[in-house]
Amino acid sequence: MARYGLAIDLSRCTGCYACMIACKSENSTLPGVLWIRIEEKEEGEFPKVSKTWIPMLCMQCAEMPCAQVCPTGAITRGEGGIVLIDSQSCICEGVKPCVSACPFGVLLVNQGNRSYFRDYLTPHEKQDYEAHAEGAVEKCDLCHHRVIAGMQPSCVQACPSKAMLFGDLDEPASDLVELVSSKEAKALRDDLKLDPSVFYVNKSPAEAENETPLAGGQST
Amino acid sequence: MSINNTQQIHSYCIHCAALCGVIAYVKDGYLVKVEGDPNSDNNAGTLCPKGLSAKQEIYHPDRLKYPMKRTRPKGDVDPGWQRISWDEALDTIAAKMNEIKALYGPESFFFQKGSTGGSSGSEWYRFFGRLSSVYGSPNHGGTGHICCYSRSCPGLPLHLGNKGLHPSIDYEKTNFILLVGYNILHTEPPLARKILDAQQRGARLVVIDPILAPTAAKADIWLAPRPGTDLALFLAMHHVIIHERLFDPDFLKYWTNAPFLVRDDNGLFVSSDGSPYLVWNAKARAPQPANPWFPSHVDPALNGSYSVNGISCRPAWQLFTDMVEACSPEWAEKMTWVPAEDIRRVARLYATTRPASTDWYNGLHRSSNGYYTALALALLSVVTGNWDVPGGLTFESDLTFKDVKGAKYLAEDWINKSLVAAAGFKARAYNKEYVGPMNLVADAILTGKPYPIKGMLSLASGMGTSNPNSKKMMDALKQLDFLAMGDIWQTPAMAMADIILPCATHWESEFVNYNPPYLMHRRPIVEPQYEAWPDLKIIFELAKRLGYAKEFWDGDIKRAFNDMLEPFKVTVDELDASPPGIAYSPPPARYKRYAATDEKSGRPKGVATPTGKLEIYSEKLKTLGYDPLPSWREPEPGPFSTPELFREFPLILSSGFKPMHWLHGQLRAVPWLRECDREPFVWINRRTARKVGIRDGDRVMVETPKRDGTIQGNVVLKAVLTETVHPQVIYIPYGWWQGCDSLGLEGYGSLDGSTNVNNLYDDSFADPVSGTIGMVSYPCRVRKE
Repeated sequence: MARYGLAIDLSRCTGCYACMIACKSENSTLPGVLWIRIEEKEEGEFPKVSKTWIPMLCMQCAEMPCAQVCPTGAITRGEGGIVLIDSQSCICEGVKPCVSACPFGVLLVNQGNRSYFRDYLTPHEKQDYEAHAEGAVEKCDLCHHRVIAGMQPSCVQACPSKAMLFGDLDEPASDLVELVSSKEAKALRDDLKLDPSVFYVNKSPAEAENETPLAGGQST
Repeated sequence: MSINNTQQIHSYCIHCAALCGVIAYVKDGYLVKVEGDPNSDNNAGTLCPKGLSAKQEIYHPDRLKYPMKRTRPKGDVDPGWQRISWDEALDTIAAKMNEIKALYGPESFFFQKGSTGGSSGSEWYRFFGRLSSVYGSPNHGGTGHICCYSRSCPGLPLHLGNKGLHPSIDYEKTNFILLVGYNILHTEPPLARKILDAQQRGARLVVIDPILAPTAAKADIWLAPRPGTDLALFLAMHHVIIHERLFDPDFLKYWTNAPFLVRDDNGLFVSSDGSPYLVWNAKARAPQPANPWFPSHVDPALNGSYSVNGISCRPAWQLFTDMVEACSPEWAEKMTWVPAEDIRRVARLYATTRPASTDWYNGLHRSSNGYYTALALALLSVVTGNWDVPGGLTFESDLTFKDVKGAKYLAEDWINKSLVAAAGFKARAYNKEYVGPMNLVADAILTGKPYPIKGMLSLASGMGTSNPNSKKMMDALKQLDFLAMGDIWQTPAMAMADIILPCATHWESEFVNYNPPYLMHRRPIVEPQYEAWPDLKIIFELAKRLGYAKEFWDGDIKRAFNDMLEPFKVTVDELDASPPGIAYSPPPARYKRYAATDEKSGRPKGVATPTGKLEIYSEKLKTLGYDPLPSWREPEPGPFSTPELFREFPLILSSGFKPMHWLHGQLRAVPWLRECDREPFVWINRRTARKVGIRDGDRVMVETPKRDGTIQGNVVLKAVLTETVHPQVIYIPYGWWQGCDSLGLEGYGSLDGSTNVNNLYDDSFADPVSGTIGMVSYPCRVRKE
């Protein structure tokens, strides 16, 4: 049985938002609902300053802290370990316990503002919005419909930097397993022992100070 | 989403010049989605936010829908737009064009083309140029003065002979990538993975940018000079390279004019007995003719001082060496704020890593010293022997469609009638680069000098916000007898138009292009929405009304495409017969084109410069009245060149990099993209903000002076506090004017109180050689609103 996972190479992510728009285009999520978002981190003081972008999406945790608090059993693990929310069963009124149970803040409530355009549904909105129930909690499902058809999640395919690698974590000889086994790879909040399927890799370029002495200077 | 019953259409996105292959999924005539084409060599299935937003752009309800004419006088708050037919619009435009030509001459009508993308201006501009040529106007505008003069013209052709070709990094072969003022990871999306791949295989990425733009954030080494001082940095790199003998003397001797003797008295080359150039043969201790080639037993001197027929002279390289002698890294540290040791280190790394490539874009260029800055950078490649070698500074393929711009229709002396020549840009006139910067056009409209401009047809150009000095531009447009503008959106400049035309997005239009591996006839993936027309159709229909059917293939666009395709010996019908197009392999990359043998003479072809060699020293520039060498000059305005302006306006305004999701001033109305980047901002260094009591998120006013110290204009923006800019520098992104109704975000206008950074520039600080405008080092002050 496969366990689908993702490795995100932060040394390649340039914060371009292609993943976010690919997700919008593929899944037609409603205004304000982002199944993947980018967090930006700035560290240091000019000119010794760095910037990192961190794509945040459902980590597909095996422990599913969200499902543990769901009173209606709407959250389950589907094929390949993908965590799915059944919008028909997601019927909590008011407070949604799963949203606050997620330590990554990647579960969002579909508030139901139906169109991106005032008084006007575009053709694709008319077609696709049926899949999004008002008031239901939504999140990334790793493009479940694509991966079961043998395709990659839309964000992975679109990424101009090729910063994301999708695959089967149970496939020992795969590029994905090799990458997530490297010392630079880690899961977010691994202290919580949630057994997520999304890993972050940061192979920063060599620090300036650590470089070997330069070849120049042999003036003749 | 169901993808059953959908048709897959192979196409390409031409929002930017990078050109990504796409597959469009269309169901019942509606676009379901656009994805990157995995078979495209450029993008390998990836796609950037602009391309991915196609369906929100195409079906956007706020697009221009119909041709309209104004019914109230210019200057009225409400133009009283009235819907008209395409026939009425085009008949009116044609009649006005004929009238202005008869009254004032064809040069009084200006043809303005704006952005490359959106409606695919980088494709149809050829036919727009043809329209101006057949009409007889040498005044055809573009965006080079704020975009890419320094890459393609006039410096590189004049000194290095590569007219028309842009540099292109040889990603797979290079071991060093030096990028200057070029946020390439975002502005050329399909190159992002190639650069990152090169870096991961060990190539060093060095980025020079005053701001920690995304590309700088990925660099192995980031140098952040004072804006507009990159020239000092490059001269100091030359200084180190010469002092430490890291240059390539053999390359300099045989492929450049470095050994050519220059007269001490007048700065011209020494000539003798029918030989226009001489070198000093160190072996024979005697002068030797160079025409430009000399026999291989000659060892031309690069240094020294000589006397030839009583004329004292020195090799050009000696002059170059003397020029950079004063430009030590310690000197450059004072000019650029970059520590001398960092400059030394980058110079040594660059010169000792082979092969090393470099590339640059408009951050380097929008400066009053941009011409010489680009030249000094390009010469780093030349002196180290990295010019046009595998992995070095290489150029895009010279694969070309047949030229249809139609310059042959212009009168022989057209260049002298162009605004560029009349305004005194002699190097550009010499190169016959007639594309006129919009600021020259605005001056001509307002002053009537060198001659009046009375009418304008503008396609895909946000003139009210995209050019420096927006107020002047709006005043000028108001003065025109006739202005017709076509675009996808209603832009601020349209307030001054007589007729506005709704244009199709590139998704709704057609062209022929090479999207490797396919030669492709790009057809509309959906029909144009509302009554929008592709720009190309507007051009052809207008040409017919002006009586130019013969010059425009009897109005048949397909025949025009077939003509363009002629070098490939293929027709549109043949391309259409196999849906993605026809796989085509261009000739393999050619390197060292300067060394190719000329079949007639048996000698090297050299390069297309006045001397036939790569020019370290430009005698032509000298005779045109310019500095023959890229000597140091401060950017204008700047804290040292215009200190009086910096007393009241102590900060330096820089408006450099563009993120991937925007196409210059376009697309702010597309809500998905706006969710990435909701509102414009100004980056202010935390320490500077603390001193003046500005907190993160405060609304602040940024104000700037004119050349004479009076107020030029202001903008109001949200302050974002950061350490990614120097304490004396602020960064404002450009292109912000449009609202996004669906997210409840109103438009910002274009003048005072707006968010349009171009309202802050006096455009009179121009590069005297190229005409690019000094924008990168502009004085400003910031206060809390």
